[in-house]
Amino acid sequence: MGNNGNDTSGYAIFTEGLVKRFGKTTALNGLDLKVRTGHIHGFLGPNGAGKSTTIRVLLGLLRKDSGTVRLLGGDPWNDPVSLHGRLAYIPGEVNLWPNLSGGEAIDLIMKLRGSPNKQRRDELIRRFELDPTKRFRTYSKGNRQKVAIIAALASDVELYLLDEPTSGLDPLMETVFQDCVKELRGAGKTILLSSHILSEVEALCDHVSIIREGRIVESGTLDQMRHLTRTTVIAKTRQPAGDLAQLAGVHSLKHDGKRVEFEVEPEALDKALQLLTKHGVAALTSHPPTLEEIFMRHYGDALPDEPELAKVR
Amino acid sequence: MRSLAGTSKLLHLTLRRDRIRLPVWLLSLTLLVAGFAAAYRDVLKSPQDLIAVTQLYLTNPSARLFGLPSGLDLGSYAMLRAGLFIGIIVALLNIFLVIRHTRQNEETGREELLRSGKVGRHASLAAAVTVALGVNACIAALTAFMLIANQFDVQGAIAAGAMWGAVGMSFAAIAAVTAQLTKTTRGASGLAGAGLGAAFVLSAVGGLLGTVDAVAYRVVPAWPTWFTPLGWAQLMRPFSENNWLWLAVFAAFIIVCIAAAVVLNARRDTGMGLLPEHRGPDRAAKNLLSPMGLIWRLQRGSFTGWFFGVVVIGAGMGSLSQSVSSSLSQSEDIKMFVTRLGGTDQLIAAFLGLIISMIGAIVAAFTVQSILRVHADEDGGTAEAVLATRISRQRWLGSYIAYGALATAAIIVCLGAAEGLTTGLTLGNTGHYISELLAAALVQLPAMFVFGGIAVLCFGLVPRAAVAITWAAYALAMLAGPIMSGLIRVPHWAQNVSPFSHTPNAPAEPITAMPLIVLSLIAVGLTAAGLSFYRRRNVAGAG
Repeated sequence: MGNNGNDTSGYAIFTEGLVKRFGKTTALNGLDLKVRTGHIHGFLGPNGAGKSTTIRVLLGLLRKDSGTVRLLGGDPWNDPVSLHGRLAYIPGEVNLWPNLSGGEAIDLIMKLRGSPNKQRRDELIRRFELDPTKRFRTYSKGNRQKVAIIAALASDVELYLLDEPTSGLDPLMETVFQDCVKELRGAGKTILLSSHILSEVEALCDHVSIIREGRIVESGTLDQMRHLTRTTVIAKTRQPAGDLAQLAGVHSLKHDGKRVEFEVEPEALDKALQLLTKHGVAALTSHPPTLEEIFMRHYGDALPDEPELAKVR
Repeated sequence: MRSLAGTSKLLHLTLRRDRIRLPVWLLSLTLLVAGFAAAYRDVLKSPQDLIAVTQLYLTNPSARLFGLPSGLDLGSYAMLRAGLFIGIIVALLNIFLVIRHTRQNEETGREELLRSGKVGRHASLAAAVTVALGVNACIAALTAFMLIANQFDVQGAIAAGAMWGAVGMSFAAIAAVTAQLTKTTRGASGLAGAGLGAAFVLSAVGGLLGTVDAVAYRVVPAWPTWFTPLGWAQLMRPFSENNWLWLAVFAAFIIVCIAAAVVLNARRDTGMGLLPEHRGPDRAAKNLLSPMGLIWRLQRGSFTGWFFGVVVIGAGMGSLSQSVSSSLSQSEDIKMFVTRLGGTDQLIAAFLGLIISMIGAIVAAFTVQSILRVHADEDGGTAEAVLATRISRQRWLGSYIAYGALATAAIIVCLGAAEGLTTGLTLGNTGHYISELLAAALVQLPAMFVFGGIAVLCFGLVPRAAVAITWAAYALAMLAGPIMSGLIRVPHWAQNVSPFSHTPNAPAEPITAMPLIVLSLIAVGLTAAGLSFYRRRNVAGAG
C-alpha cells in the first residue's frame, strides 16, 4: 500500500474508501484499489467478493455511495463517454445479441468504442480459432468468451478492464490469451485482470490486490506477498520428518506419522526437499496454494477488525 | 413409461412459473368476451338491426375475411364479428404457452439440467400439453359462461366455448410440433405464428369465394376453409347450427400433431432442432455499426410485420367505405352507434375516422414494445457491452426513442395514405381522401407518443416494474378510450384521463391544435424526465 494523500497522477485506477450498497447489502465497503499506469494488476478474490461491482463502478455503470473514484485521471460517473474511448472491457458475464454473428458483434463493439483495427481483429480471430460466421446464440460458453476477448484485445486503448476473462476457455486458449496479455504489457498498456484463479494472476501480473467482502485486504507485488508464492508439499517418508519444523521458510506444518504436509517459501524449497530425501521419500505431491487455502489461512480470522497482514508475517 | 418420468413434478413447476401469467390471460380473455357480448346485446335489439349489419357481409366479399354470416340471430352475429378474432387471440396464447415451456427451456439450458435428473425425454412436452389442455378447458368454460350470463342461447354458448377451446388446443398441438423443429424460441414461435397466418389466409379466402344464400343470410365457404382449425371453427357455426361433429375433426388433428411432436422429440438431440441453423456474415455491414443500425437490425422483423399488417388492414377498410354507408344507413340504431363513436352523422367520414383511431390506438402498442426493448437489453446484459463503449446512456436510450417515434410515424403515415387511396379508388376524389386521411392519421401520433413517454419514464425511474406499469397504463387507457368506453360505459372522468379521448375525430370533425399541443408536451416531458432519471441510476448487469 503506502500511497497516502490524494495524488492520483501516475494511477490509471484510483479508488479510496469506495462504498457501494445495493439496498441493505454492502457490496463495496471502503475499497482502496490503486493501479499504476503501465502495470498488469491482478484483482484477486473469491466469487461475490465485489470484483465485478468494482469494475462496474469504474465504468460508471454503477453510482458509488461514497469515496473517491478516478479512472485515467477522470470521473467515470460524470464523464463516461470520453473515458470509454480510452479503455476496453470484457464483462464477467458475456451476453451479446443472439442473432448477430460473432464477427458482427466484434465489429460493432469495436466501432462503438471508436477504435476499429481490422488487421488486429482478423489476426486475433485466427489465433483464437473462432468461427466468426456463427450466430452468437449458437456459440458455446468458451466461444462467447472468445468473442468478448477479441473485441477487447483488438482495440488499441490505454486501459483494459478484464473481468474473469478466461472463464470457459480451454487450457490451449488460455495460453493464447496469456500471450496476448504479455504483448500488451510489452506495449506499455495498463491492465486490470480480475480472477479467482491464483495461477493465472501469478503468470501475468506484477502487482496484485486481494479483495474480500468488498475491501482490499492486501495489495503489493507478488514478491512482497511471499505467502502467495509458497508451495504446498505433501510427502510420505520412510522415517518421520520432524526436523522440518526447524527450517526457516516452512509454514503450516502438519505431521501424521510418516505423512507430512507443509507450505514452503521458494527460497527454502531446496533445503526442505534435501531434508525430505534424507528421510527417504516414498511419495511426493506439491502444488501452489489455491485461493481457498490462502483465504482460509491468511485472511479468514483477521477480518473484519484487523484489516490486513497482521497474521501473515 | 420411463420417458414420462417426472411429468407431474414438471407440471407443478409449469403452474408455479405461470401462476400470475395464466390467471391474467384467462381473466383478460373472459372480460373481452363479456365486453363483446354485452355490447352486441345492447346495440342490436331488433331483427332489422341484424339485417342491416349482416347485409354488409353478404354483399361485400372482403368483409368476410374475418367471419362468415350464419343467419339472423344475435349469437350468429357475435360469432361473425368476434368468433375468429377471439379464436386468433386464443391461438396466440396457446402458441406462447407451449413454446415457453418446451423450446425456451431447451434454448436457455434449463431443460438440460432438468433432464440430468429423473426426468424422462417426453416429460416437458407432456407437462406443457397437459397445462394447455387445462387452460383451453378453462377458456371454453369461462367464455361459454360469459355468453350465457349475457342472455345468449345456452347450447350455442357452449358450442362457442368449445370451439374456442378446440382452436386453442389445435394451435397448442401445432406449437408442440414447431418446438421440435427449430433451435430457438423465436424460430419456434415464428413457425407456429406462420401456421396461424396461413390458417387465417385459407379461411379468409374460403369466405371470400363463398356462395351467398341471401334468403337465409348465410354464406357457404369455398373449399380452402375446410383445411384449417380456424375454418373448422367457422364451420361449427355455434348458435345457428351447432355442428358438434367438427369437434371430432379437431380432436383427430390434435392427436396427430401431438403424436408427430412425440415422434420428432424421440428422434432428435436435446437442445438441437431439426431445421439447420443458418450462418451469419463474418463481418458487420457498415449500416449495422451504430446504435440506430443495431436497433434497426434487432427490430426490423417486428417493424415489417406491423407495417404490412396495418397497411393491408387500412387499405381493406378504405375499400369497404361504399358498402358501409349503404348498408349501415338502413338502421337508425346502427347509425347512432357508429356516429356516436365517430362523432358525426357523415357516416363514411365517421367510419374512416373510427378505423384510423382504432388502428392508431393498437399501433401505440408497437411504440411501447419498440421502446421497451431497451429494458430487455439491460436485463439480458447486452446494454452493458454498449454502455462500456463511447455510447452514452442518453444516446443509447435516445436511439430507442428516435427509432420508436420514426417507426411509429412511418406506419401511421402509410396507414393514412393506404386508406385514403383505396377510399378514393372506391368513391372517387382520390387526392382529397388521401390528404384528409393522412391528416386524420397524423393527429393520432401525439396520443401514441404519450405511451412511448410513459415507457421511457418508467424505464428511467423504476426499471424493474417498467414493463408491467407501462402495459397496465396502456390497457387502462384503451378501456377508457373512445373505442371501448362506448361499449362498456366508462365514467366520464376516466374517459378524460385516457390520452386517446383527446385525439380529434378527424376527418369527421375539424382538427383543433390545442389537444395535440398538450399531448405532445406531455409526451416530450415524460421522455425528458425518463432520460434524466436514467442518467442518474445504476445500470443493471446480467451477472
